[in-house]
Amino acid sequence: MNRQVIGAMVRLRLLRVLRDRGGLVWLLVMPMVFSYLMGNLMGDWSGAGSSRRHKVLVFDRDGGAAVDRLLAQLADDERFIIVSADSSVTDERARFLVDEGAASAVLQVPPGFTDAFAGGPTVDLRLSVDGNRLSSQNARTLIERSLLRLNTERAARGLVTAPGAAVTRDRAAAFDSTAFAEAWAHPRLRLDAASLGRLEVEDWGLTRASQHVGPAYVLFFMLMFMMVSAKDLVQERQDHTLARLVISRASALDLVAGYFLGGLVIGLVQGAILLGLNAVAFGLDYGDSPLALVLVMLLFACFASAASILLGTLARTGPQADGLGSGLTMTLGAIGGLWWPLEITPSFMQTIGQALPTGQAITVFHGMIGRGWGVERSLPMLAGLLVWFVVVFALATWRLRRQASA
Amino acid sequence: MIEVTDLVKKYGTHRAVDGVSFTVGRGELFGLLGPNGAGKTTTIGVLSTLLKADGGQVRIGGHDVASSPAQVRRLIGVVPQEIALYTDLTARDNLMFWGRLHGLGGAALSRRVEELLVMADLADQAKRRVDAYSGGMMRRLNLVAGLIHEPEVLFLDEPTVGIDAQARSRILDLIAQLGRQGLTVIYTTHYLEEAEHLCDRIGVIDRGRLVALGDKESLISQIGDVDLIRLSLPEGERAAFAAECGAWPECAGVGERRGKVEIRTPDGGRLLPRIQDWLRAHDLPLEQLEIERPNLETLYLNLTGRGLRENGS
Repeated sequence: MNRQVIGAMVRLRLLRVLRDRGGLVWLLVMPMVFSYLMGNLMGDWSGAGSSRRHKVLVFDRDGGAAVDRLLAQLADDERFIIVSADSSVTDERARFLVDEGAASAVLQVPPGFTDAFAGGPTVDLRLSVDGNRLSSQNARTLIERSLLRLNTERAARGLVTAPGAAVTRDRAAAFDSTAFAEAWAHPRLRLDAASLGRLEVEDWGLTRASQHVGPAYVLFFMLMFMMVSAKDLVQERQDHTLARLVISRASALDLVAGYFLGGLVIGLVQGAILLGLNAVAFGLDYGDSPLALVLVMLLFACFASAASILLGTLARTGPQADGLGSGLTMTLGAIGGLWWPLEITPSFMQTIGQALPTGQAITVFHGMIGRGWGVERSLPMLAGLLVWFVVVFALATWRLRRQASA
Repeated sequence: MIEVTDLVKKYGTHRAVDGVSFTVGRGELFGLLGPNGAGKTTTIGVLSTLLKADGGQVRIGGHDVASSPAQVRRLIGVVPQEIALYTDLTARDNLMFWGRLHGLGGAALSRRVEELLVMADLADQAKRRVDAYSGGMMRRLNLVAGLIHEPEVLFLDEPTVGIDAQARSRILDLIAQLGRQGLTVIYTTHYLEEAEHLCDRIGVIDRGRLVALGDKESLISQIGDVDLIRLSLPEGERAAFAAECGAWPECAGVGERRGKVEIRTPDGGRLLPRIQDWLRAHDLPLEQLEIERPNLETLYLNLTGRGLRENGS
């Protein structure tokens, strides 16, 4: 292969992109506008900043001071409003209330809760939350935290003789690791939480919409730009610049490499700039694995560039390439979870989505951002992206070589 | 420099080029003349390695185009009929790109680009986008882009299509200049005056076949030193006139075409009084009469029975 020819083609592609101001707007500005708008529209998934307050229903059969302390964190949080009733409720009724959206969470406090805190028999609290709603998950986290605090306080009380008294050396020595392990394993105050809905298996870890829409629009606009630039290849055929390229010193493989690398460089530059802007503007943290980040962006850009060549060789006219490119990008974006997270779709749609390159790439991003995925956890998705790239690139090469030698 | 032997190119069952043979010497300006669809562009396509021949052989600079396309491509430059440029870029950007593609770089490339911009009279427009150019400016840039790597052979495929007379004249001057510089040029056109004006030798192509080949004088001599007289007559009188005219000793042939009587004669001047006498005798006015000296158009008409601007397909 002729490196000078390939270099000239890459340089030409960059030059044409840089000279096209309208194209630059779609390349760099619009993705950020979409990220900003959609990030705000979809809100903060932790609930902060949301004007709506989520209702937590508390059926309090105890009525003691310990219940107030249990709910103190929840009550202090402006995202939640606590509605208490001194009656009981069945599990079925609690589920119904959550299912119908009457409350984000339903907490049942049995009689004897305050006694248990004071040293009485163990009690179990019952919590029903809606697994589909992050507000519910947040309420659950706050209640668990309060309960942990109460249990710890209760254990610590055993170390002192009277409130405010210093912990003596004998008592501290008696509270050794065995005693701590026993207190940890058998807390007096226990929470039995039931999660309803689809997210009960795994928490996806994203707390803000921008953690999804940021990388999602980076991927979406990368793909969109590539697919729409497929019409350039059609144009090259129609204007006979492709014929002129063929009868220059460029071999068919040089042409394939030139077109592919041109697209790849643009995709990577666009991706790097947009990811950087998202990090600065929206405070996005892409996790602890730069290698996983580089791999997912590289493989996705490789796929998008190869797909652009393939589409350019299949379309007969510029408008046809435009239409097909936009349609494919929309479809891959929607089904692949770039418009909304795959995690909120039914499981069969998640399976379909994760079989697509868009779904594989955004899943890696969600994993890196929300669950601390590194290369190892991302491998299945990265392998999927690699397969897509290899297949599409092979088809694109075959088609372009045929057209260049026809 | 160029040897074409029994060249055949088929599209399905249609023989677009059918057994064409000719040679072009080094430094020669060779015209391939024929109407649209005659097979000129297909011939250029095969010669420039863009299309694969179905039969025959083409050698350029001693290299077979089928087996050594890479060697041939180093020798040739091609100016396609279409504006094969990146019109969203400037003239300089375009020439720089095509130069890099041909292995040029650095100061040598910059120098060559400036030379070509001057040659195309575009030096002061070099920073404008090509899509803002006039048709003639685009054609000139299209032409010099084929010269960026200083080829030994240049294929020009109808480089003056769709431009006005003034722009056309500038392109023809440019090509004549290239001819004077010793470049071997194959020039396809359906404008016979271009071929007559520019080319050392001309091949006349029709329906994929080369029907005549030679320099302008030898081609015209093929039809003899005859004038062509075209006479407008009422439809009912044409047959009677043709019958009588055919018997006159000054008449070498008579026929009817496009509503006119066409008479071939070695001396149009001697035949005119006879025609006037006949018109007077039949009480007919002289509506329209043209006398045409032998030229490539009459040659083409003689060879194919059609005009050059009629579609050959």
